[in-house]
Amino acid sequence: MQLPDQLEFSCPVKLLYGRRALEHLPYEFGARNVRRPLLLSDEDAVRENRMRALTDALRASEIELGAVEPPAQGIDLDLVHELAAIYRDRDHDALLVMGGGALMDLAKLVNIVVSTGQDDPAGFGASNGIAQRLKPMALIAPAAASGGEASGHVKADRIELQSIHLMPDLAVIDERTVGAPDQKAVLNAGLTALAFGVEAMLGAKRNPMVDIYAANAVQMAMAALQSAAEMPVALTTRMLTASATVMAGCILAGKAPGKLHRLGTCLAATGRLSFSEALGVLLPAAVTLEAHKHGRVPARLLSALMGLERSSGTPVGQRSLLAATALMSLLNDLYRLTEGRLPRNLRDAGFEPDDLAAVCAAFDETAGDGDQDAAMVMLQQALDGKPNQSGC
Amino acid sequence: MHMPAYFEYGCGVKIVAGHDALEHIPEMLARLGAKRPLIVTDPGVAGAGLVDILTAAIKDRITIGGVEDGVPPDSSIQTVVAIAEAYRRQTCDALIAIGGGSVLDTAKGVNILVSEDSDDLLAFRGSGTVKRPLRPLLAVPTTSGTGSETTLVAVIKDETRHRKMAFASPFLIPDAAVLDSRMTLNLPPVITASTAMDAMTHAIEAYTCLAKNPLSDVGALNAVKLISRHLPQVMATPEDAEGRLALALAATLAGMAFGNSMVGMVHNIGHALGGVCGVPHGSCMAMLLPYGLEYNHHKNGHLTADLLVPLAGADTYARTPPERRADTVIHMIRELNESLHQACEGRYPRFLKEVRNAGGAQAVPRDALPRVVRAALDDAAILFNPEDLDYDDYILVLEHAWDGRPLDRSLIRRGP
Repeated sequence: MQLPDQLEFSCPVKLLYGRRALEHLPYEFGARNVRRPLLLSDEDAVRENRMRALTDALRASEIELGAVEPPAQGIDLDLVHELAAIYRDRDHDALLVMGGGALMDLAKLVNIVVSTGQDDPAGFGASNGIAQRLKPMALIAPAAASGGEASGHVKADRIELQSIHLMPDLAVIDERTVGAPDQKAVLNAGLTALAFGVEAMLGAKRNPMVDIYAANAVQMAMAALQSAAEMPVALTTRMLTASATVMAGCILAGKAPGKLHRLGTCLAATGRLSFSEALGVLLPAAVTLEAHKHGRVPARLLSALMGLERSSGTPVGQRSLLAATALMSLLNDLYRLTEGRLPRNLRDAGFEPDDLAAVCAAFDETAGDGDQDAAMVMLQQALDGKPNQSGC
Repeated sequence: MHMPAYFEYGCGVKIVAGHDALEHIPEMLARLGAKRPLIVTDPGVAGAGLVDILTAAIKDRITIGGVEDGVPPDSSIQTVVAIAEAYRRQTCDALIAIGGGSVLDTAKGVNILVSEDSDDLLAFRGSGTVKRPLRPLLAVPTTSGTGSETTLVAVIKDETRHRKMAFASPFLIPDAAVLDSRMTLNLPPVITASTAMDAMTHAIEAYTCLAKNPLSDVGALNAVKLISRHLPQVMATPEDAEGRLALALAATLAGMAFGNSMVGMVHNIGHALGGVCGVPHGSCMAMLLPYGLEYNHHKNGHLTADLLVPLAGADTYARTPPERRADTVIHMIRELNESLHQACEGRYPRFLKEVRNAGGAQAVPRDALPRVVRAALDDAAILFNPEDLDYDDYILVLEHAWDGRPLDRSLIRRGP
């Protein structure tokens, strides 16, 4: 691995994974002087009565849990202020989130308000404007996650923020609270985590610290996606998916998203496929392109995708083709598994060659030199999903 | 991928690494709201000019409140209290610890006292007694070995009770570890070699022992790769700044790995050997590492085999028959020890009988081995070793390590 001349890395998230992980929360809360956390839970958690396991785990402790189930609506500032008022009025000292996606975004905004006293989180600017530590926050991670839960990103109600201080202090993955989502939700979460991991291992900013989370995101997501055919989705698969999405959040941290992420956002904005599906169909092309740009695919990425035994004998020159092929093979399997509902390529999602220019035009205007050309190359390769060893 | 039934992983310290990482300190302190840091270090570090390098890098942009350079090799409560008084007297608002484990432990202790406005350090001993964020603390390691810049623990001697006291809290983790190649550029060859092998052992025991987890695994493998690639280069070309920085990163990675996955018999015996015979920790690790891998081979040989990838590359791994991979790894570590011995002109010991104390006498006489074993039997680091050891097992390992013979695996008693 080529080490960068300068390296900065930070991940404040402590992961508690596995059997009876919730039972470790009282110790972790105690070490952070937390006595009265406010629990925010989503409707899936309520419907599946996941709070029961949490209250059981906290029963013998001195933790006094308050709970709110925010309405399942879009996030607006009124709701943020309403929850912040509850937090203050009931003298809470931490946030505990049972759920993913928008609920975690909501919790991050509430934390900004109760920690800084500023009513308008947007006032902190888009990037790294939050300078202080916020109140302790713990995520009880679900399998049906967006991948951004453990990150330092918030995107809600015209507010877009990035800060390392928005990352949760704790991410708990417990068998009783990962939930029982449908197959599609697990596949979406797995594809997102896989893409975050692959992009981090390919990029110029790769470093051995980020690798810890990236390699695990890839390995866990691959294992989960390859076993997602089982119905109902097995507990092991759901645990792996939840873990992979926490890894994805740690990779993203408080940094700006990468090219693959931004192009996926543009594709999803067309409404023809979801963000996760967009990332999935772009992945083989992203591997080929980055390999062409940087000269090679890291052996660690190939190992994370295929296992050490299968990947170790591959000559350096063939790694990118093998990695892209492994990803295409996965997409083909998922296409068959979902009877065509999960696209293998952009044509499966209804795109034609003439559609690509519009997507490219929408690609982040702040992209660096050459990124828009790279976006078109990726889109063209993703159209039919054929690996191209030359990368262009 | 090995997913244990339960595991934890976390490392809250921010890592800032580079050839001019020190220059980032004023900006980092400003973000933490600090303007007047106290530098804590030891006489060796100060004498080597490392404090001067740091102050030159930052003095134009921040006011240094003072320099306390009297930290002894074993930190003590008395030292901590004295430095805390200096911190208050000089109205400081942050700490910069430059040095190894003892300096950092001292700074952590000072941080407790000045943040909690107390003089009673013992009131905060044990786990979880520090419950709120402390003053900003930056760690600047000057060796590439201990990894203590990543840990939430401080061990400080209570001189009145002749005991070492442990302090543990997430709030003891430094705000940042600043890894700068200038801090290790002039390390003598023996220290470079032994501290790097200390980090190598942290990584290998984290990967091969019982408390491993998938996150610490990746960090451990990356650490092994960086050390195996860069240590020989740095020994041949000590001014290799790229290599020095890579070794510093490897030590931090290894610290993150073993901080989350614990260690095994190499550390267990090494602690005892250090305590009984005064052998430097890094030397203990380097000499004992092949024996730990041999002793545990029947339990974790498949994990030792994986280390062939970071040590020799994926091609060599693929070419080597699976049943020979672990033995090849052990052989490579012995070869590395041999090459370091040569590079240090014999001052880097390969076997216990070669270790000399400051006066040139043999540091580990063969008749000291039973005392080493008795100390090892009381050391908790053995808890996560794959295979058990009783008195006779320890003697078996130590006698082989004393002579420098590969362990006769037919003599190992295999547990269930």
